Amino acid sequence: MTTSNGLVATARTTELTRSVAAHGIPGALTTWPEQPLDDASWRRLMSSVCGQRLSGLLVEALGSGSLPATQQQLDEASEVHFERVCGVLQLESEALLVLDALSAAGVEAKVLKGSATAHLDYPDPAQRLFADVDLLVRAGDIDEAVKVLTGLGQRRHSVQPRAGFDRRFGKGATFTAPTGHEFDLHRTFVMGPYGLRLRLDDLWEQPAHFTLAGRQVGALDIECRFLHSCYHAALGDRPPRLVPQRDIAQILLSDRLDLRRVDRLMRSWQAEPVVARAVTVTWESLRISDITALSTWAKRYVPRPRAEKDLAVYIDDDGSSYAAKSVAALAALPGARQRAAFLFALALPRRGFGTTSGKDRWRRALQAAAHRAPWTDVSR
Amino acid sequence: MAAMTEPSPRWERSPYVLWRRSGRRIVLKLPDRDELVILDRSGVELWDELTGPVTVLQVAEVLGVRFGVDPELVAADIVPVLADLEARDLVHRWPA
Repeated sequence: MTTSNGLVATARTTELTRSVAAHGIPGALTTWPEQPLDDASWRRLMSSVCGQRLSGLLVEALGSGSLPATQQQLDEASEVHFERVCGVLQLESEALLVLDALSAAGVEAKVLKGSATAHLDYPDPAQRLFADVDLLVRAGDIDEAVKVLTGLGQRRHSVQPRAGFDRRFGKGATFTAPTGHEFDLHRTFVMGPYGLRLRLDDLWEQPAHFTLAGRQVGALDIECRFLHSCYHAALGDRPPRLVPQRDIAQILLSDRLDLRRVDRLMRSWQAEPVVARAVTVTWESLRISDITALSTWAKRYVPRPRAEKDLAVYIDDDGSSYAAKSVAALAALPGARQRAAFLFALALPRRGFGTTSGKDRWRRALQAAAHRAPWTDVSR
Repeated sequence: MAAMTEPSPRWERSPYVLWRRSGRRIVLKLPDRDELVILDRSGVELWDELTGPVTVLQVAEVLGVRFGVDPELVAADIVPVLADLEARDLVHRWPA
């Protein structure tokens, strides 16, 4: 049973964690204690900050004096950040190995989030930590990319239900490297309707790179990086994690975005509800007082009923399931042939597909999809 | 006749290094090696000055002014550090 003191303590920890996430954002209303935290409060903050991967911003807040701390607390935060940084360098090393192998196989790849955002959008990449590697490849290359990662000894978490599913419908594939690190291969940003509506060619339209160990490594251009952060914040974990929210604020407030291009892409992908939710959540959560054209638009935006339903499959407790996303994905697919292929893959996955839990998810997805009429166009 | 000054080699960070700053330390790693190298204190100060080809004397003069120490003493301290970093392929030496 959580006591009222416990609730107050949790609320205080949440507030402090958000202040850490917002540290350094001009116009963010951060609140800090006047004295170093007591041991119990410090433990809670460290646990929360580590869970959110914000130790880079924590050491910045401590170093600037914003968050008062004892020497022991300073040392502990410093040590935690140091360990995370060591992990990040290991990840970047592995990423380069994978990128070299993909390149040798003729597969072009872009780094999503993580290393790319750290180097391109933060003044010090040590502020932006990450625990896995996300790589985007073209739909036509994904089967080859899967072979490359498998050839490197990486273990795919669940195979595609039928040949061609990754290339046509899937978000991508998740792997675990022999080192235990996770690699996410992406065809698109997310599974479900918003992933399918994304025009994948737009992600490859403008070249962008960052330098990693002397090499030019592909990344999304800044507008696509911003939009990807929106997808990540709005459609990812529940509740939305603070790192993608910080990414949104970091990029949007840097005045480097071509907002007309953001607008064009957003509308083309039917992603207005995603961006509106992401920016609104970010501005509220990080308590950013600066008003921008996009934050004003986001606050006023009202999604249409269809869009609300699509958002619900990602964010609602009772609607956010693999089955719900699959049903919504069906409606997002253009044409009867695509929908038939999608349903066929669900109905008759190949032998050896997935784990027991994976098969159960697909069975539920198929049952849910079978309850709606898949052959009629759904108005949006 | 004035004695000719011997030209000095110039030093800079290897572009092939992955690195991050963490508090008062800097962590370095080459992608194809498992080793992590940690710099602290004067090592960090030295790394920060190696953004472009510089001589030992140039670095020593900057750090000498910053810390109020005779540049010759500073130079004597940083030469072995540079040698160690070079042996680990973390810095590049341009011949004199």
